[in-house]
Amino acid sequence: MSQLCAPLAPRIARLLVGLLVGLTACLAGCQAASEPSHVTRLELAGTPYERGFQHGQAVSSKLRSLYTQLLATSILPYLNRERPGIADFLLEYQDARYDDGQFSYLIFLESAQSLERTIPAEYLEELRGVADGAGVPYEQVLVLNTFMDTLVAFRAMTYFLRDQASPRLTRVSFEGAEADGADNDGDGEVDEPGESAMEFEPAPYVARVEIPTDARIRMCLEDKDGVDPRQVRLQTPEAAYVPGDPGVGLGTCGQDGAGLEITLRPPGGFPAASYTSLIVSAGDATLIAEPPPAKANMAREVRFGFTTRGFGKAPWEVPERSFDDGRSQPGPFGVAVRGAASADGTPLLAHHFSMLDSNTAHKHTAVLLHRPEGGLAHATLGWTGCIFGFSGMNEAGLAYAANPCDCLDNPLTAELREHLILAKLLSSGVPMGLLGREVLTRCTTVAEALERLRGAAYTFGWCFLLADAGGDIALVEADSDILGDGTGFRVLRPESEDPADLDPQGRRLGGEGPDDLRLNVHFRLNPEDLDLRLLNWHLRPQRYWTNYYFRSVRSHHLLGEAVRARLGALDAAAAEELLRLPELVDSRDSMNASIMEPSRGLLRYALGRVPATDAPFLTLDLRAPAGEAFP
Amino acid sequence: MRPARLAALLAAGLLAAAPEARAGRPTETLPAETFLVDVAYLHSFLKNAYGDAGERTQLLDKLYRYEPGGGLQGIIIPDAEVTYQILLAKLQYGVLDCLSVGLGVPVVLRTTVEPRLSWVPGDYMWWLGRAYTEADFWEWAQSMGQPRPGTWVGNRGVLADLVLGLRWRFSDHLPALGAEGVGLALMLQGALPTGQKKDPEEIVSTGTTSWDLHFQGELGLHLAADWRPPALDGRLTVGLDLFYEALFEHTYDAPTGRKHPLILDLAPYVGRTYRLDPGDFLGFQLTAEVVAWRGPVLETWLSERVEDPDGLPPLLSLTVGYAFTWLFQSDWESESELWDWTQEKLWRPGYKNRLTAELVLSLLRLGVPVQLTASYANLSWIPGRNSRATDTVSVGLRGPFKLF
Repeated sequence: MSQLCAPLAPRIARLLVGLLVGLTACLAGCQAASEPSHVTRLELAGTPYERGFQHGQAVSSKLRSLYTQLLATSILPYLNRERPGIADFLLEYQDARYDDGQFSYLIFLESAQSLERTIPAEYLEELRGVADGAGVPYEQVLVLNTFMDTLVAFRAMTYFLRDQASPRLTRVSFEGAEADGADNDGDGEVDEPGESAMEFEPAPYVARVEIPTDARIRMCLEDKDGVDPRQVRLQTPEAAYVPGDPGVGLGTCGQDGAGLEITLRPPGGFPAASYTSLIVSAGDATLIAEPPPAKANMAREVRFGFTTRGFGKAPWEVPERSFDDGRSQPGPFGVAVRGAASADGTPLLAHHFSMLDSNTAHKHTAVLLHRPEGGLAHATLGWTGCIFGFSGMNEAGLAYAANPCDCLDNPLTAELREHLILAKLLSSGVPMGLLGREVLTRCTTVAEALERLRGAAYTFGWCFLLADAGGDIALVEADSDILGDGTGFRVLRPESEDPADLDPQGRRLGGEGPDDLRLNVHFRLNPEDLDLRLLNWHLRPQRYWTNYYFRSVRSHHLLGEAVRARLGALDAAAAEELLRLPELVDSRDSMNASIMEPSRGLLRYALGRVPATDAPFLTLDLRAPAGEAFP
Repeated sequence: MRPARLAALLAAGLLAAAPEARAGRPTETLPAETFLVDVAYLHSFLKNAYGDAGERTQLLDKLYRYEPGGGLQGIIIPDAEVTYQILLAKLQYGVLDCLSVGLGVPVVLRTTVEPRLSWVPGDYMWWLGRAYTEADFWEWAQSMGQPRPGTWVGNRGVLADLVLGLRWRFSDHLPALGAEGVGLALMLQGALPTGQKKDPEEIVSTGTTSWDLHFQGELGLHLAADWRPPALDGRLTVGLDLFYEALFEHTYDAPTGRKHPLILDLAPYVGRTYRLDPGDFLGFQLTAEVVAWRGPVLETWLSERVEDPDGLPPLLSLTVGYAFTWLFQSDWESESELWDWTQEKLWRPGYKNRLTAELVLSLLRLGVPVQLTASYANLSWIPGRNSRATDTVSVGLRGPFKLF
């Protein structure tokens, strides 16, 4: 039998050698899989529907994964947990149709449908195009394009409600300052009655200076349910303290002695001739079991600073820079410069936007260049399937960059004010990112943009910068103006000498000089954005309740220092450097960064990573012929 | 039956076997018209993998969990441990003296996957007054409908892919090689898709297909050589096996989040199904079989039936081996390029280094036509790259028979 095998042997051997040689060659050529780009660049032309269709078709999968990962498996289930608390006082949400995990989706959907009524028709057409191109329901695309506006307002409401239920720092005194021979409050008097104590007031500059290094700080925390000493935590740049630590004492304070007084005199005292700052965390004595995990009613962390003897400056000369606590992230920021502030006198707008990444958004970024029929070519930085952007520029050189500025002067509050316990959390107005698209499509200058934006229906508090090729730059603070008192649209130009645009010491609110403006997430022109009593609540200006206030103030001062150091030298390279400064960058929720040069029609963008500035800046030339704008 | 053929028969353990736990001689075939039954129990442990830089790492990626807009909740580190218990039955038949065929029937008795999740706290959450603890996180997740993955036990008595094999020792027809004690063989083996795919809705489950077991390809071609130096009286055999094994593209259902809504809801963007074309294997194995103790031959019914009783297999022999395997890039194809990458980066081109040892106690010299085997295969001692460090022990017995 073995003879049967013989004739085949040499052929098989040759075949095998050939096969192995081939495989070896294949092995050498086989490449490892590479990470796909997280940035989609699209040039869209035609009618709104056609552009939307092109967009949706190109990003179908990324639109669906963004929706699924950011909304369906993250934000929606997260917000569903809030239903019991909200349904307790807004009776509409007890309805059975909000059962089975539908609560948060319906919040977004109903808001989206409310917004749909005021969104200009051409953007609705574009959304329909996106839905058709991507093969997803229009409803989902509508939610994806409006949820951020709803979310920031919803978040503001939850911050506010937490503020209502959690301890407040009401009073701070510096024991030892009442007889230290120094003017601690900058009023020109020394050791007058009350000089060592203050009602706590969040502010961008310190309230007390020249405090003795061995002073004991007394802080009064008040809450209707009582403050739990175990939830109190103090932090200085040097150390963190809890009750029981050396230098920390407890007592009573406030009305009827119901408050918790916590005192701090660090072992060894405070550093001499220094600015120092405290962060105060506190929770009340209740235990909230739902939604899990169980926790106390925790107050937002409040910060205040002071200087110690020998520092030598008045309170208004000492910015509340606070310190890096190792955990808080700065908010989004931006800067606009021109003239003497920029390197060659031309305008420049730089923006680093951060809000919500959740390890998802940065993988779905998009740069959309629109060439609309009957409108200006313009580009926005955003996300796949989203037709809006929080920054962008058009071919005429009009540039804009927007940040949410937490505000209770928003449509949700308006609903509450009108319908009380029968209210629904409905947003209304035009989403900010679409207002941005609108001015980029229609306007060539800051003046034109302001004219169009003034009187627009805003979904929330928004702060934004505008710049144009002619060198005009402006800072706008807008909100929904639910009281109709005309305070919902404030404009600041850097050269303004109007007292309303200066602080009490005559300093410019917008920037360092007549050619620069800074953007953060707290109001400077409209600090008293809303003060309203409603039911048992006191709706107060943003500085009293938003968790972003102190971080924004810190970021504002740090950004001011960074800009000051670069005044007269700010070009694209310097702006890149500025946008990458670690102390300014939100390393968790950074979303995109842009540098816009209006007079050159160049938009430099960095996105696709967290922080966005970890990606290289690439340049889009808005004045290049069709098909040649992207590098 | 001639003793030389009997010895060869009993050493032919490689055919149609899951090679992971076996060394043995690479060119042996069965005598014509002879059957060999081989049954082995395999116990496979998997705790670690090797990353792209050859570093020892966990089997599963770390999971970074974020509070929407609130920073990092923490990092879930799955230090998973997988145990497979497999019963491998093989039936082989000598068609010609130089050509054997075989059927391997692997049955997974049980698979256990312990996720062994640990937790690295993330950012301080001001509204919580602390960073999330592990308990906090799972309470939070539970409140959104996401249960904590527990130990998964499954594949109880589930058939894996059947294996068909054919080995042709073509050196029988090259007399010059035979005189020098050299054997050359070609082996072809293929798997039938009888294994069970993993439950897509389970986060830590496994299946029983060739891809899941990752022991061998679905179609393999081996060129083997061995040499028994004549001067050593058969006490040493060294072998070399060059192989290429291919795994074919298959289609899998994408998870819909039915059981794990937060972390396993992929179908909306991956698509209802996805395709996986696993990376093929290319490599070689070196073996050395040493006669540890030839042993006495008792006068038994068996010794009386063979021409040269002293030629019966030694009482104790040891085979050691080393295999190097190149692993090609695996390719996922779904509607989501992003998701494909998250899978593909775990299966980039790499290699694995396998050490094997097999101890055979042959009772033929004592009159019992059975051999007992104990094997060990190790992938965790010598680091690999983009591979999994599976260690396997097995015990088995085998015996020949003829029907006519």
